[in-house]
Amino acid sequence: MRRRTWLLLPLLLIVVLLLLYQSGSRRPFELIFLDVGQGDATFLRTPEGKTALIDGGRSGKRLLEQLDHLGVTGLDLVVATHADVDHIGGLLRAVEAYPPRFFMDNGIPHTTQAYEKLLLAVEHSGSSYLNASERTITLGDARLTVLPPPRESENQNDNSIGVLLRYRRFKALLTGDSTAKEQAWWLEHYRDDLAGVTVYKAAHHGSRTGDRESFVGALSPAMIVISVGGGNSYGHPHPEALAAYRQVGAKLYRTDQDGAVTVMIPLGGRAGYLVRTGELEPTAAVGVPAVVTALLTRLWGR
Amino acid sequence: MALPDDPAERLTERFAVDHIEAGIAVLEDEAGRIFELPVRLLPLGVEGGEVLLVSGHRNGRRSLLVVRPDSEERARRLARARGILERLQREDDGEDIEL
Repeated sequence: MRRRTWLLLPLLLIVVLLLLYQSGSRRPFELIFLDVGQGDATFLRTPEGKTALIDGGRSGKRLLEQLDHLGVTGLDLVVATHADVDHIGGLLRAVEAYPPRFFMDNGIPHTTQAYEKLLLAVEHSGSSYLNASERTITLGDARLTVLPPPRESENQNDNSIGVLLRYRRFKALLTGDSTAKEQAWWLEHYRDDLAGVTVYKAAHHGSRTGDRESFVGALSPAMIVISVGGGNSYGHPHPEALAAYRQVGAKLYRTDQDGAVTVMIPLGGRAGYLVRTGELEPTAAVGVPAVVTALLTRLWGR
Repeated sequence: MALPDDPAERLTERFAVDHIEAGIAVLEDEAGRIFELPVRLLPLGVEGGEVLLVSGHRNGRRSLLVVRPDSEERARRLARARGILERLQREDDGEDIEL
């Protein structure tokens, strides 16, 4: 009798999962760290189909290929965390191809043509410009809290926009090329909000001037993604940053080694999250095996 | 365009310093192309956001180049970008957004 009960348990679990699966949204929440070489580009899509692109890497061609592959048909929000070309170089073509409803940047002018052309494209696209002030952007069921730059100088990296993403119990933090100076300022003002993020995008491609153990430790992320190009000229990621990431015990992903990193949250977050690396896939319902994997991951640790 | 042989017809070209990282300057030429140079080859103290004026001529198999910051062009470019930014920023009321 006891043996039969044990045999029925997995069956019961599957039935419960299927019921949850049917009752919940079939489209997962997706947070995708695109593989744009040396640079940053992060795409997110909510179960309601709302989309945001945070930075666009250096190449518009490379960015658009990936957005096309993901079946993107429009962008609700584009954020340029700061004006360095490895973050905005690809955005010009993205804004032209998918004029976003809203566009945000750090409001610090730059002297490159890449920057001026991007602003002109935003103006011509009819997008509404958003200042990087302390504000919340609700994107379907997700909330993006803007961590404003301190603006104590005109330095682009020191004034990267921070984006804290919340979707149910999941939190992700993206901070462009923020430096230790800006991070210390954010900790002073937003420490409680920043504690316990699920996913952290390494600042400044894991450079020596970016993440310190004090900041990463305060975030205590379960997972860190370094958006970096293989064999880059700058020595990213730096061993000191890697040591800080190891110190917090986070699972580490690198776009130069893993390709694009996709974080999927099925079932409205009831089954934790899943990570897929490599090839991008157009949005699709998450299969039951993947849901079971996510659930098991949630039950048996990070 | 090749460098002229006559010093009186020296060629000039401007490069914007996009940013400097780990001893490498990331530059943008007038055609919008991005390339990298060791920062040690540039004038002392060059920073991201500066515009560099390169002028030079050729003397046989030697190229003679002078690189110097062009603060006037930098100011012009910043003013242009600031103008666009101000037009864009005028519409924002700073409120939270719901999409």
